[in-house]
Amino acid sequence: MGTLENATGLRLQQAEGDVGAMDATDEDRRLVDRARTGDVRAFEALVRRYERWVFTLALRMVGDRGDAEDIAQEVFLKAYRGLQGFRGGSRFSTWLYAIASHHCLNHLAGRDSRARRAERTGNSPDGQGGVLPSALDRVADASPGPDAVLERQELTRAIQNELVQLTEHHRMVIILRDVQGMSYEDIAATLGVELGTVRSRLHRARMELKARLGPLLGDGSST
Amino acid sequence: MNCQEAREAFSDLYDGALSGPPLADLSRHLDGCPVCRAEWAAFRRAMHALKDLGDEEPSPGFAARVAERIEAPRWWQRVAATLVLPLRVKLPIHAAALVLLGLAGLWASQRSPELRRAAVEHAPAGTQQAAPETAASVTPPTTAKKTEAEPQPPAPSPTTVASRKTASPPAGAGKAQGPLATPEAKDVPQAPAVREEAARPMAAPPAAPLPQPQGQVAQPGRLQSVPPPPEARAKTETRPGTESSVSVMQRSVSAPAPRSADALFSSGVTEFAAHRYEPAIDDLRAFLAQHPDDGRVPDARFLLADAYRAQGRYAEAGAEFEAFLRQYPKHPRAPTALYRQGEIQLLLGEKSGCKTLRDALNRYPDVREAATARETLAARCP
Repeated sequence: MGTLENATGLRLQQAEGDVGAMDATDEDRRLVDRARTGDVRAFEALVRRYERWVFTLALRMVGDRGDAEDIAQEVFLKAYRGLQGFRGGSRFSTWLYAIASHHCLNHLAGRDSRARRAERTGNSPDGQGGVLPSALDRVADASPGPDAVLERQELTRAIQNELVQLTEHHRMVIILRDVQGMSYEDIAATLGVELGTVRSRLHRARMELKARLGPLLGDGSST
Repeated sequence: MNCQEAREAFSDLYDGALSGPPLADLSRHLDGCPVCRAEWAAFRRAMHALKDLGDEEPSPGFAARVAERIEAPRWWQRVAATLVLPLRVKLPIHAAALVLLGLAGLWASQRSPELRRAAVEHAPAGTQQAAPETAASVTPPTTAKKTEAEPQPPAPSPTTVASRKTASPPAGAGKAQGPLATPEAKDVPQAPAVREEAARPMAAPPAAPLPQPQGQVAQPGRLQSVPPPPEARAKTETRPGTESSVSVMQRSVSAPAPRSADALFSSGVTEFAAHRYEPAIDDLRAFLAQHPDDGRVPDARFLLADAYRAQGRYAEAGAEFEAFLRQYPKHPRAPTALYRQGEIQLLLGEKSGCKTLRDALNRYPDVREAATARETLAARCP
């Protein structure tokens, strides 16, 4: 049946991803060992390996490139300062993702309280009405001309805007799964929740996002 | 299975987590229910749109900035380091402090009428005239300040009388010439306020923002001047053929300051993001011209090319993409640049665009631009 064709493909992707993850784990371990001895260059190499992941998570969670970069920096600084406490019981990536996820959630909690304060005083929390488009993202788009570039930019921005309307926990789980491609088990380990919680949050988040994106994607009957 | 149960299973179905009887039940339901089939299609479209957001990269140099922050000493380390400075650092600092103390003492003595009077009275007759000239020759212009607010002018010495005759300041316009005035200052009509502010040390800006003369932009930490009072304004004009150090300073203040690499690059990116391509092009070109060794030059060149493209300046865009590909063939944006170049060649009516796009598809078949390129090739390159 045509509608089910993606299921097998996803399993294959996960299998390939597992092989790559093993190599990455060995390299991570070597770099972590060196970084623990104070080798900042080794940690810089770790940052390069994971900067895209951490930055993308932060950007999708907060919707602002400047904030996302600040968050990503703080995440790596926290990780460096906590390296002595990292015993290697889990993968470095899982440990780092946990730091990143919790830092994002804490940032949003703080921002919400700032927003509430600003609302009380009648000021906009950040002075911005939406998500700033990224120029470097814009130039990476595939399109035959400027009009198509703009159209795609608008769609990207609209999707991002809808994404940030989800609750923080729903947003986190859908980003970890559908943007970052993590397994249910890794998401559960990263967030420190049960597998069933991941599954239910993910289902609700996906259904809500589908309903929100329906009008944008031309689904007349979306509910 | 009813419609509600079917939709509850969409998430598992999308993840490939269904098998056996549940999968068969859902398949039968979707085959027989057009509404749920449409819902499933909408669900998949939404998930694909989300997936298409893709990864994002932080700004160039992110990892290095993190390393810098790690290596930057914490506050207590900085304090400790200050307390145990090596001699090679301490000695120049102490020497500079001594010189500053000496200058401050000299300045204070010149401002004190009693001390100055005592110096004049006790000085040997032959040195009374020479002393100010000597002081003027060794004292930097920053100490030439002598404010009109001085409540009690000192008893006129031969030197101060002579300098007043030269400058002839109007009543209330202040006396810029004192025993420490430089020879240049004596020769040029004084605009007291301007001179005093210009002669103020740069490390000690005015306490409050001052109004700016027309055409002069206030910048924090920069030398500022105030408009002279009306009665002194005519005197601010430099005599033909002469140019005081003050006027040189004023001119240097008025000249536009070069913008930093960060400012130019960031402005270029921001303007681009806001669809203001003309200023983006200006900023990016200035960045490339003024900071050719900056690590962000490749990104700036790519953005510049894309800004030209967005403006429809395809010839310039094509040339820029070509230069980008020649200089940075291994850059992460090289695949995009190659596809862009092919499209632009076709837009310019060049047949070589077909070859470029085919080349791009051979080399980078899996990037996002590939699908569009295949459509373009099918439509325009039979």
